[in-house]
Amino acid sequence: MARSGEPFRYCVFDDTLATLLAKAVAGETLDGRPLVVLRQPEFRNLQECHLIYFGEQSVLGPTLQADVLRRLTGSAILTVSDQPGFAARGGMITLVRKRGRIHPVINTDATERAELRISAKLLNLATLTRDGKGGVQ
Amino acid sequence: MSKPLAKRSLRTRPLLLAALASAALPVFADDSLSTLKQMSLDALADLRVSTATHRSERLEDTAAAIHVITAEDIRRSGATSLPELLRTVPGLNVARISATEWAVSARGFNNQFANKLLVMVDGRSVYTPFFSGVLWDELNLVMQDIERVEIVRGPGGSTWGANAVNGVINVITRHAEDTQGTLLSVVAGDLQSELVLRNGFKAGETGHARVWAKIHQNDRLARASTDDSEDIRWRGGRAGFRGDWEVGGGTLMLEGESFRELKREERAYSGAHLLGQWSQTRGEARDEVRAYVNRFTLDHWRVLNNGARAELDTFDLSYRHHFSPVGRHNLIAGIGYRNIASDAVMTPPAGVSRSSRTDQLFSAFAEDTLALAERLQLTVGVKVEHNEFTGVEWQPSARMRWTPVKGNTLWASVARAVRTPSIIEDSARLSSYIPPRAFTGGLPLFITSHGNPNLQAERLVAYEVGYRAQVTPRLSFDATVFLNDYDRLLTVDMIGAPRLVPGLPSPYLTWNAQAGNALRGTARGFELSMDYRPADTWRLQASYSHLDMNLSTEPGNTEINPLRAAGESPTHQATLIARHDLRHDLELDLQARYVSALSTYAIPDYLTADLRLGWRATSRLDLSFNGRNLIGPARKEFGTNLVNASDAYLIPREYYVTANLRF
Repeated sequence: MARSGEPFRYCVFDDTLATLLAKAVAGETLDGRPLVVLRQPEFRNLQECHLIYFGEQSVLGPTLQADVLRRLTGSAILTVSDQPGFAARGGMITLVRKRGRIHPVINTDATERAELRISAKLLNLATLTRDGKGGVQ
Repeated sequence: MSKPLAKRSLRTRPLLLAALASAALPVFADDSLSTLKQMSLDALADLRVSTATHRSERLEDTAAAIHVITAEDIRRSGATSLPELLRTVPGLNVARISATEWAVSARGFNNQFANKLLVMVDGRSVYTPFFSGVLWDELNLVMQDIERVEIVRGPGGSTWGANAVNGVINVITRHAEDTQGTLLSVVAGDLQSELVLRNGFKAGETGHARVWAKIHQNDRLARASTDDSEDIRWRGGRAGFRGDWEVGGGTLMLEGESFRELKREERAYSGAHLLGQWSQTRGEARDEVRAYVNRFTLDHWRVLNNGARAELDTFDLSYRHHFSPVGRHNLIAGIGYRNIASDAVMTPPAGVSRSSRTDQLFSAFAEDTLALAERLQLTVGVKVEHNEFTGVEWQPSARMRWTPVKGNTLWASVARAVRTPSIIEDSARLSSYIPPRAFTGGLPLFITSHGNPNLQAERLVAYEVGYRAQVTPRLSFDATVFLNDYDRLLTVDMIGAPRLVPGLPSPYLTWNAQAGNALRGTARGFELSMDYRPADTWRLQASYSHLDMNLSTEPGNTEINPLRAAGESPTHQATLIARHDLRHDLELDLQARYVSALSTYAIPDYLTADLRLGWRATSRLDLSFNGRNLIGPARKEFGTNLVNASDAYLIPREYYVTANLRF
């Protein structure tokens, strides 16, 4: 658990996105903690991340990414991606485009394994899936 | 084994930023970044991120007094019915009459048979041409399947046609893709219970569908006067479906429903509808075709204590086309046809002179939005209709919108709207009994009022000015001032003098009356509202509405109670909504409202509040604990008849629990 004052770290596997996200979080804080963006983090530092974003243009190949996700299993680190089917492959949240809008798909098995608690507001908005299953809303 | 990790709650903000970065940011300019970052999660989810041009402008940008209730608002309101949800909308008059009946209107003229508010569900009119009005208890929606409710105060005749006089309510149900999986929902309380089961699934390669069923029961309420405590217990069941498909470059939506509502085991509503809608966007042009059939049966129904049975079969077909913009012009045009075959029987001495009839309605409309300058737009529109009661009716409107600074909109409009007569006003004979009173000379009085086939449409010319300001992404204001000028409003004109009939056991009086158009007057007022999110976990909404009605009849008119309508809607109304997220899984919602006195029914002003505690027990199960009308004792909110004002139901404090399980 992050100590207060320690930054909230976004780790991003996608250069274009990392730049945009850095711009977006500049000056932002979460519960008094600054938000920082780490571009292409080293694997040995991944446990320091609070949120890992696997972009659509991630330089990680599918095998390497699957390996990373496996290693993160049970860690309280939120994994997010806009890759199709990410939540079904062990990731927690996929951001999909649905009828022209961004829509979150949450794998509740994955978030529960990590003991992450998701706000009621987000759960209501999202499509909920389980490992290897279709979504419910 | 689970690792000894501390549980963490994920607040929505980190994800929100990630979502922005992934999809929204490339589309938006840098200067809108700070705005986007402060948007709420549901607003962000509703944001269109595709770069394709969308002609449909945001409703919030139109030059009219518009209020939108989102699915999230509905969930947090805890409302189990549409009228209940409308209680907190600025400018609407909502009063509960009994366990089953409501009076709902906008900007005055409220009544159980309020006839100046047009209500639609997915474009299907639920306004009943039998008596002009909405049977709110027939409209028993699955609240979880509502995507949004759009409320327009003020006339909408130039777009929606007749009877959109004081306002329009459009309920839009959720796309089938948004209701996938299985939902089991339960409401259990001291006065109501409900069970909803819904299943959503993929329907073919390009589509989604849902099927649903709902049963409910509402318990009886007590009357204010003790002589008759018999309210109606109300039970009902309904089932339906909705499917959405991508077909041939367009979208197809089909929905249907069948229902039966039973009151005191004999009074029943039943009905069914089937609706199809097809739309296609080509470049910047868009076509929309909608068709529906609707069957509605009222059995052992009572209108002013006269028994009635009516069957209405409606067929409606409409087409609208959004043209590609030409120069500064942005044109929408459409045509429509409606056929209503009805069969009505009333219990003698009441009756309907044309018991079987077919009424056809032809309509056409056009609306042009003209960019006068970069920040100044003029929209002129007109709807022409031909109806069987009053012939051709024109409903024009002109609306001007000025956006001096981004996020600030000043608008003004002038519009004409009409309400066309109902079947009852046209051709029914109603009988009402007034017990011996001083003004009847101590004798019982029977009034027989006759419909009038020569009635004219009620007419309104409305003037409105409004201002909307998005001060910051977290703070907005809305203010509207209106002046409604009515004429040819409906009256019940007494004919001659009462006649003494030497009957047994005692003599009595009879008096004839006929429907007329002799009332006129104005309604003036203003509505103020504010929406403020001081923090991600807080939202505050407040509103105040003021209404001042001034009615008079034409000289020599013999209507007994011409000023009744002025005392049926409150002069002052105020609402306060506070929503707070106590924890990631706990929500606290307060809704308070003040309603000033209704002189027609001698109902004093009141202040009351509703509370909701929502708990997301697991990611698949949410529970809520609700209390309604928590301030003060049970009270009357509206009257049931004009003769005996105390003859009204008491709306008590109420508690209920809701549970929604998704699997």
